[in-house]
Parts: sequence; structure tokens; C-alpha cells
Amino acid sequence: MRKKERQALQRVFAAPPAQRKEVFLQRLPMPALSYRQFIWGQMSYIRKWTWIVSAVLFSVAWCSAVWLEQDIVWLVSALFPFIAVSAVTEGAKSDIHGMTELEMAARFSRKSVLLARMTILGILHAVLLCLLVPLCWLHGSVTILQTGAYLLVPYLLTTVLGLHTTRTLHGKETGYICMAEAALVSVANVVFRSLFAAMYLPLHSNRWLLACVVLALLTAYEYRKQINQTEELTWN
Amino acid sequence: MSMDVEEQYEKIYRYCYFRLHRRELAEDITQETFLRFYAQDHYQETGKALRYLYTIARNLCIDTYKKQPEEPLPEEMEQPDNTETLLTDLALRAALQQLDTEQQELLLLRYVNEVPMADIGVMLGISRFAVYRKTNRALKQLRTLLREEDFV
Repeated sequence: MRKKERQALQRVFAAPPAQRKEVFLQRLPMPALSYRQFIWGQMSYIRKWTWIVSAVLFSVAWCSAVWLEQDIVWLVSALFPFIAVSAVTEGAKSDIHGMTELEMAARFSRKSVLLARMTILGILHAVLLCLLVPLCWLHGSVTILQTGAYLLVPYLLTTVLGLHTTRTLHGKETGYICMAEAALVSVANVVFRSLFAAMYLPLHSNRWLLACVVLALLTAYEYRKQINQTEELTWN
Repeated sequence: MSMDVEEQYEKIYRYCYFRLHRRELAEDITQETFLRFYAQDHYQETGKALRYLYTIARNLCIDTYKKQPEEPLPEEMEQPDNTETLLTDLALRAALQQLDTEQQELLLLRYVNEVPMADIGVMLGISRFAVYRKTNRALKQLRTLLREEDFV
């Protein structure tokens, strides 16, 4: 339909101005959003590349396991830091793009939004880990527990570094610094494996598990600090 | 809820006014529509809010019209300043009145309120293809009538 025809139809079908609209809309009892609806709604705000990175990693691991039939835990552990950084930068999106004040004025508190998005990404990464650990262990020469530790340590290390960076620094550069940290952990992971191959013997598996626990605690600590920081900004 | 409530209020009101030709009554029905819509216990964000809203509005308009079928007095409407626009509008209004109510309703829903065809289909109880066919036919007929009046 042509634009002029549409405009003419709009004029012809026009109604006299509604007189009680404003009063009615102010008093309209809107339904409360359920927790499930809120989480579902927040999923649509997570950037596409966050999902894409997870999908790509999973695809690479899957294809490598199926076609190469080799030990792929080193490949996957080198890629895992980038999964971690996608979640960290997602949480710090508003700081990176200078939208913090605007988000504080939005319908839902910044704390709720942050918790919802971290929950969604946490579940996604947990599912990914549950799928990748058996996949990597399949053609590997280490136990499943060791495989899990070798994947988790670079992931948690990147998360801790990224959270600390986003909490202490602000602005667009924060995103680039987090990416650099992920790249550094990834490369360090590969180099460490080459230089200290003995550290990957079953003899040292307890040290790896301890590293996992320590890094997990540090991650929880950094998350808590970040959540508290959103509340401090509100009060300020 | 993802839809803009204020925008939909205007559109539902316009639709009700088209059906009932009375401002007060149209506004009452519009407000009743929204109250009933939000009063649903099983309300969920399923992406079908528009079709529920229009279905409620249509049913209320039909029930109201059955109770009060008298022809209302014409309302004072704002007229365009431009003479050419005014003449076009008069010709269009006259041509629209020669279409049947269902055709007018389709043109209002599709081209003025911009309701998706799937939602119109659910509202009128016809398939999406039938909506497409009937809307095209109404538009074609309207253009023919306007061409006869040398307004196209």
C-alpha cells in the first residue's frame, strides 16, 4: 500500500481524542512479572556473540573428538578462557558502555539484572562443562577428575582476573583488557603444559583440585564484591 | 509485557470507535478490554497479547452493539487545513462506506492499526490466507471506487 493511501486511511479512520486515557493508564493494575518471565526476558538482552562463542567452542570440541580421535583437553582448555571472558564482559556491559546510571533508573534494579544474567550464563557454562569434560576425557590419558580440573583452572583464573579488572577499572578499555587477560591465560596454559609437563602427572592432581577450589572461592568473592558495588552506586 | 500499552490503547480505542461510533462508549469498551486482559489468571508472555486484546475488544463491541443498536449522532472531528486533503478524505470516506463492514474492518486492522495477519485471522476466525485474500480484495475495490471518482 502506498504511503499516501495509508495516511489517508489513518485520517479517515481517526477517532476523537480519548479523554480518560491518562488517568486510566496510571491506575491500570499491571501484572507482576514472575521470576521465570524475568529470567527469560533477560536472556534476550545477552549479546549474541556470547552465545556464539559457546556454540563455536562446543562445535570445535565435538568435531575434534569425533574426527581427530585425539587428546583434545589442551585445545579446549586453551579456548575456555574466551568463554569466561564473554560472561565477565556481559556482566560489565553497562560499565564498559557508560550506561550504569541509565540502568539504575530502569524498571528492574541493576543488581537483579546482573544476578539474572550471571545465573543464565553460569548455567550455560555449567552445561557446557558437563558436556565437554566427558568429550575431552574420551580420547585422553588422564582421569575425568583431572580433565575437569585442567578445563576449570584456566576458566576460573580468567574469570577472577576479569571480575577484578571490571570492578576496579571502568570504561571501554576494560573490555579490551579482559580480552587480553583471556588471551594471556590461554597462551600461558599452552606454554605451561609444554614447559612443565610433569605437573600434569596424576601425582599432582590434588594440586590441581586445590587450585580449582581456591579459584572458585576467589571467583565467588569477586562476584560478591561486584554485586555489592552495584548497591553502593545506587546509594551514591 | 513487551507491547506498548499506551500505543495499543489508542489503537484499540480507534477500533472500538469504528465499531460503535460513540466516543464515551468506545472508551468504556477500551478500558474494559484492558481490565479483562490483565485480569487473566493464566496470563503469560506468550507473544500473543495483541490477538487476545483485539478478540476481547471485538467481542465486547459485538455484545454492546446488540444491546444498543441505535445510530449515534455524528462526532465533531478535526478537519485537515489543506483543501485537496479534505476532498481526498471525503472521497475516501464515501468510498469506504460502499464497502461492507468486514472489508472496512480489515482495512482498519491491517493498514491503520498494523495488526499482523495471523492475529487478524485468529480474531475473525479465518485463515491467514483468507485474511490476505479479503484484504487485497477490499483494497482493490476501494481503489476502483476512488478511480471512478477520479481521486487516484
